[in-house]
Amino acid sequence: MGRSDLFVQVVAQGLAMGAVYALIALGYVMIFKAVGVFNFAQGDFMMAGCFLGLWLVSTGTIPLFAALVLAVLLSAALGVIVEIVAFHPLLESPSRSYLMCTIAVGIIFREVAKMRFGADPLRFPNYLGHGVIKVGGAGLSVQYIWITTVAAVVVVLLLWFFKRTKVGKAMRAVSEDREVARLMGIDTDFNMRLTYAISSALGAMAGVLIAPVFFAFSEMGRSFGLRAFSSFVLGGTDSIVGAVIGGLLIGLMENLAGVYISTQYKDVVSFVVLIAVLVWRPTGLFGERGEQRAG
Amino acid sequence: MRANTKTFSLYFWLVAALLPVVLRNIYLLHLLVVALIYSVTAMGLNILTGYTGKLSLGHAGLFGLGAYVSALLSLHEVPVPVAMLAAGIAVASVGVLLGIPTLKLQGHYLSIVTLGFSEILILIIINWKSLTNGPGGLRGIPPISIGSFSLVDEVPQYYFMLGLVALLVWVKARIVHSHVGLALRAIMDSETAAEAMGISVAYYRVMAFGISSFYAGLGGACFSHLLGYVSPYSFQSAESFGLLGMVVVGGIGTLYGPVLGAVLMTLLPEYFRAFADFRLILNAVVTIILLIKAPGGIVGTVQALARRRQLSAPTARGCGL
Repeated sequence: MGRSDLFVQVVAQGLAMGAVYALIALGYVMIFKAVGVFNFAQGDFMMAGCFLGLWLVSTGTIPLFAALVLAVLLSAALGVIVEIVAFHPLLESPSRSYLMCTIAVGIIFREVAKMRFGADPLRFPNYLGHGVIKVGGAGLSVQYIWITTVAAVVVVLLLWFFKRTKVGKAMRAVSEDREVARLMGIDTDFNMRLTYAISSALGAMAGVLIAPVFFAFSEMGRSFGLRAFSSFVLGGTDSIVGAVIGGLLIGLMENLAGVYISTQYKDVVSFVVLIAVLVWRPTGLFGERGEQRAG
Repeated sequence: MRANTKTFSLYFWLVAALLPVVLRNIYLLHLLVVALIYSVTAMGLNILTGYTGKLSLGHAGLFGLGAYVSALLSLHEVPVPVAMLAAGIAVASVGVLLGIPTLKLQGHYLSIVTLGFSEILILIIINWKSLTNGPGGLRGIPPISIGSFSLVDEVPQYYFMLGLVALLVWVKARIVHSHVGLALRAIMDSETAAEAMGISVAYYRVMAFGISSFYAGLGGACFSHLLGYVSPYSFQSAESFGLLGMVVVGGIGTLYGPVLGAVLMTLLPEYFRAFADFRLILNAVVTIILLIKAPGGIVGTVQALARRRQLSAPTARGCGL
C-alpha cells in the first residue's frame, strides 16, 4: 500500500471520528446557547445512549434498528428527566452550581454504567458491516462511510429544524434571551426540556454510531466528551456549523497525528488545540460572541 | 459578629485539639489525618471557587503533582520541609501557567483546561516509568521529621496537620479579608463592573488560582510524607469532583466550610461501608441535593439560621463564621 493510500484511509477515518465529535459538540452548543453553561454531562449522555442500545439489543426481542432508534429516544427522555430533576432548579443559581451539577450527573451516569455493565469494554453488534470499498489502492471501511453519512444527514435535519420550523425558531428565540422570549409567549420551560432532549439524543446517536468500531465502555463519555469539547471551542461555542467543522478538524488532526507522530498521546492533540484556540482565538473559527456586554 | 466568629473558632479548635485524648480509636484518628490533608487542598479549591466563582476540575491533579514533586525531591536527599515548600511553589507556578490561557475569557474555560491538564498529568505519571515508577507508584517516602523526631504515629501526625490547617485557615482569613478578597468578590459579582472600578481582573484571578494551587501542592506534599506512599490512581479526575463535593457540603466561600466538608466526606463513606461501590454516586447525589436545597452548605446554612434568629432579637447582626 502506497503512502498516499494510507493518507486517504487516515483521512476517511478522521472524518468519521470527527463526525462523531461533531454530533456530541452540537449538544454542547445547544446547551451553551440556551443556558450559557457547558454541559459536562454531554459525553456521558453519549455513553448512556450507547449502553441503552447495547441493553436493548441484548434483550433480543427487538429488531436491531428499532433497538437503536429506541435507545436514542430513551436517551432523549433521560435528558428531559435530568433537566427536570437536577438542572431546572439551578437555572437561577450561580453558574458554578449549574456546572457542578452537570459534572455530578455525569459521574452518576458513569458509575451506574460501571455497576450494571462492568468496567471492561463490551463488544457492540457490528450493524455497519465489514465491507471495504476500494478507492484506488486505498481500502475505505464501510463503517466509516456510514458514520459520516448518517451524521451529515442529522446535521442537515437539525439546521432545517432550527431555520424553518416554528419550534426551532422559538428555541432560537429562547437562546437569544430567555426573559424576552417568555414575554413573547414562548413556553421557555418546555423549550429547555426540548433542548435537553435533542442534545442528549445527538449524544446518543454519536454513541450508537461509534460503538461498533470502538466497543462500549463506561469511561467513553469522558474521552469522547473532552475531544468534542475541543471541537465545540474550536468552532466558536455558539455555532452549529462551527461545531461541525471543529469536530471534523479535530478528528482529522488527531488521526493524522496518531499515524504520523505517535498513537500514545492521542488525547493530547485535542487538548493542545483547545489551549491554542483559547490563547490565540478565543472566539473560535465561527464564534459571534466577540465583545462582552455589561450585565 | 466578630464575637460569634471568635466563639465558634475557639470551640472548633478546642474540640479538635481534645479529640485524640478522648478518641482511642487509632484508625479513626488516621482517617482524620487523611481528612485534614484533603482539607488543605479543599481550602485551596475554595479560594478559587468560593471567591472567584470559577471551578477547577483538576485539583486532584495539582494535589498529585505536589505529592510527586515532594516525594521525588525527598527521595533524592532533599530535606523534607524544603521539598514540601518546593512542591507548593512548583504547583503554584503550574497553576499560574494553566490560568493564563483563560485569563481574558468569561465563562468556565478554566474548568476544562484544568480537567485536561490533570488527565494528561496522570498519563505522564503512568508512562514516565524511569522517574515515577509508573502505575506502581512510589514507596518509602521519608516522613516529616522535627529534629530526631519523625511523624509516623497517628497522634503526632494529627497534631501536625491540625497546626498546619490552623495556620492555613488563618492565612486564608487574612487573604479573604484583605483588599485581595474584596477584589475577588467584586470580580465574581461582575467582571465588567470590577474592571471599570480599576480592578485588574486578570491579575487577581491568576493570583487566586496561584494561591489555590499552592494549597493543593502543599496538601499533596503532606499526603506523600504522612502516608509514605503515592500512586497515580489516587489523583484521577474523579477525585477532583470529590474535592468540589467537600467544598459544597461544608460551605462554598466560607472559612471553615472546606475543613468540615473534608472531614465529613472522608468519614461518611466509612460508615456506609456496605455501599462502598456507591461512594462516588453518594458523593454526587449529596452534592446535587445540597446545591439545590442548601447552596450554602453546612456553614452557610448555620449562618443563615443564626442570622434569622438574631434579626428577631433587638441587636440584629450577622454571624460571620
